[in-house]
Amino acid sequence: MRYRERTGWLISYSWKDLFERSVRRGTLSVLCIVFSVVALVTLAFGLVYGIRDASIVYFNNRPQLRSIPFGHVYIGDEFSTKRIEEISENLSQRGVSIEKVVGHRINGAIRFVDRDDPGYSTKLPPMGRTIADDSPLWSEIERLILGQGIIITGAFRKRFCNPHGPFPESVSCRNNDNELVSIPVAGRIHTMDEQILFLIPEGFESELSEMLNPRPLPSVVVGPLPDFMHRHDYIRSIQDEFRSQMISRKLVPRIESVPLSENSSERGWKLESRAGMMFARSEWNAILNSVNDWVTSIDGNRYPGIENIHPSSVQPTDDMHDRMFDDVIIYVKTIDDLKPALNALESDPYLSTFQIGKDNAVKIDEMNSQFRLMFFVVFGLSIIVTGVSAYNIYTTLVLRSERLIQPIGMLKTMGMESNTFTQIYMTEGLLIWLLSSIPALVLSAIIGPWVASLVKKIAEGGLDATGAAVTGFTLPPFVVLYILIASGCICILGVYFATSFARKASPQECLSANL
Amino acid sequence: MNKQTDCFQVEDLSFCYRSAAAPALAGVTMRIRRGVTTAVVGLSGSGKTTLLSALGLLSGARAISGGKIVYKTIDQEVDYSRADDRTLNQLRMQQFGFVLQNAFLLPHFSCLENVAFPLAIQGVAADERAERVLALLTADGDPSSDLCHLAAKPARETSGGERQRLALYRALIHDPQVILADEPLNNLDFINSRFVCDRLMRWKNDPVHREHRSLLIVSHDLEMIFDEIDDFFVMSKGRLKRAEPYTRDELPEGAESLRRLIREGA
Repeated sequence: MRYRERTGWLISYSWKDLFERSVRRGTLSVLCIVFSVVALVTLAFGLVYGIRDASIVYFNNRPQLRSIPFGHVYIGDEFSTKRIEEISENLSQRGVSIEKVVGHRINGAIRFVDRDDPGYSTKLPPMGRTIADDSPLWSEIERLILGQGIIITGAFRKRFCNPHGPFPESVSCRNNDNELVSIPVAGRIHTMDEQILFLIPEGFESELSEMLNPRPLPSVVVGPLPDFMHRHDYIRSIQDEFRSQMISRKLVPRIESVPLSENSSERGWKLESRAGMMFARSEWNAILNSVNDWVTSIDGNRYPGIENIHPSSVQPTDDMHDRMFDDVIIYVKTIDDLKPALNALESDPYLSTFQIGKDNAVKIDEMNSQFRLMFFVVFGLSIIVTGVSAYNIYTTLVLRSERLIQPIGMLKTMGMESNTFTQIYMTEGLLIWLLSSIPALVLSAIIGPWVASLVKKIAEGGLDATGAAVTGFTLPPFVVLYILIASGCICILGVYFATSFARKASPQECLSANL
Repeated sequence: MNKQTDCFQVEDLSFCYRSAAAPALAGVTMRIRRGVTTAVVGLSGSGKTTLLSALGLLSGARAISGGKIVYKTIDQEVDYSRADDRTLNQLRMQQFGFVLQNAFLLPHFSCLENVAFPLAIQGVAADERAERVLALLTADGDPSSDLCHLAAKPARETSGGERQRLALYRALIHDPQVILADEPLNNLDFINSRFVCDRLMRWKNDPVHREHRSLLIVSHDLEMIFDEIDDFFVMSKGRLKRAEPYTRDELPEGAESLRRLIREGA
């Protein structure tokens, strides 16, 4: 109050006065300034929030945008705790400073993984888009459920056809005798991550065996249902549909090993009824028990056909009680740790899914440099916008102070000191900053996650079952603080310089100023 | 002339505006008496306003190119070139009042607030400010009492005449010792001109304070002011026609005599 008494209300200090005198009475300049700062801070915060996790990664032989935090190595999905520990230890031994390892815990599904097949892991659950009631696929699915069909999943399709090409009418590969073996594809189901499950007609089991021979059919690891499956209602509806069909048919989930063909002593898995089915937790224990029994039988009595399975990939007792994680990300402490981490993963004999290859490593470097370029372009634009905003603030304030320059000169003739004007204008700058920053923070809190969700959507669009080493480059959170400080400086310094003449000029100069 | 009765003592004053080829004031030496009404007359561009600004510290003491200005009261003597900024500011705040060609009111503030600004700057409390402004506006016999209804109105909603009258009251409100008026009658109709002139003289001739109050006026409206002025200074091209002021006795034909002097100087 004392301050107001001394300064004689050149500007107002209360909300009411500010509104009354500056806004409602037509001083649009205040609105312009506030708008500029709001735009500036919102843009900056929006960018920080929005793209902080956005990274361009070299993933599955092609560049993709993924939502991955700064300073990390993405090592892919479907890892047990034990394997993650092995990888972490491997990296630590190579001098890579690991900050933390994160991943989505998988909470209930059967996963089929062939560890001897480089570059693949399998997601069997026939999740996907809603299938119409009258779709012919239902009959295929029913056959599958009844054990009459064979399913080839995404990992296999990579072996048989171009994973990114058009949907094939048949899948084929060469057998041990170098003969081309083909199997027509009867149907397909798109999964949420664009995998395609091929439904193989009856009668092609022997061809399939040839195709798969001498590789064994997948070993089995057990893990819970992935978190992300719960996030999609349509998957849930499919799940419910399957479950209701199973219940109506009184089917009991069962997995058993069978000979690959009538005349073969080799054995594979016969996937009956639940090829990748997802089960409610109440059903899970029964399945778990049956799988437990089955894995124990493997451990005790090796089947002739599974010698090729690396012992460490089965690890029935450990993995059975292990947790499984999806989208495992290792955070390294510095950007300098990324490259050695990638090299370490590349040379890991058990991390075949992360083999990058020298060519790809070069591509990663290229992508990083491209992304850095993008980073500078984005921030170059931000700086331009900031500059324009600052200039706008400056010119608006100049106009504002010049419009009042003669009354200010009159106040000076009455003895008002330059210091008082400085205090008044600085207070105004602070008010503008506060009035701008608060709504800007709110706006950016809304816009930021929205931008982030867009990034994530784009990223999820490029998901694949196969993991690859990737690297990211994004904004550290402390930039937020810098932005706040920068916007404050722009307001205060803008006010300071814009009102320089009004504050320093003599009364005569103010009174005779040409407007 | 008694030295103690001087209000301003000016010696060899020079003033040159930046980027101006010729000085606006050159070698001005004069004495302005305390307790009298002094007019500075001359053609446009002769340096009248510059002189007034220099005396009233509007151009800043540091801007004076050369010479000396001393302001004197009974108990105080301030040399502009030696005084610190604070002293000069106090002088401007407490001793001087300005009535300029334009009122320069703050448009978004009420008439009352505009008139009260000098008091606000001096730190007078809001209640007392309002009280003093209303007292001034409603003074007995004052034809300006109609301004009272404007008190709460924003200054931008007033007419030109009303603004000038408000500016006059703003100059009077803090009871200054000297009023420096630069073309105060400019752009005013004859009624408002008469009012401003009369009100200034009423302030000047206040029976209690007349010996201490000085009025320095710059005007082209020679007829209107002639009878009220004690001393006349005639300026031409930044110089005084004569260091000693002209008195009315020396100007037998009144305003016409003044005009002749001005023409001779040109």
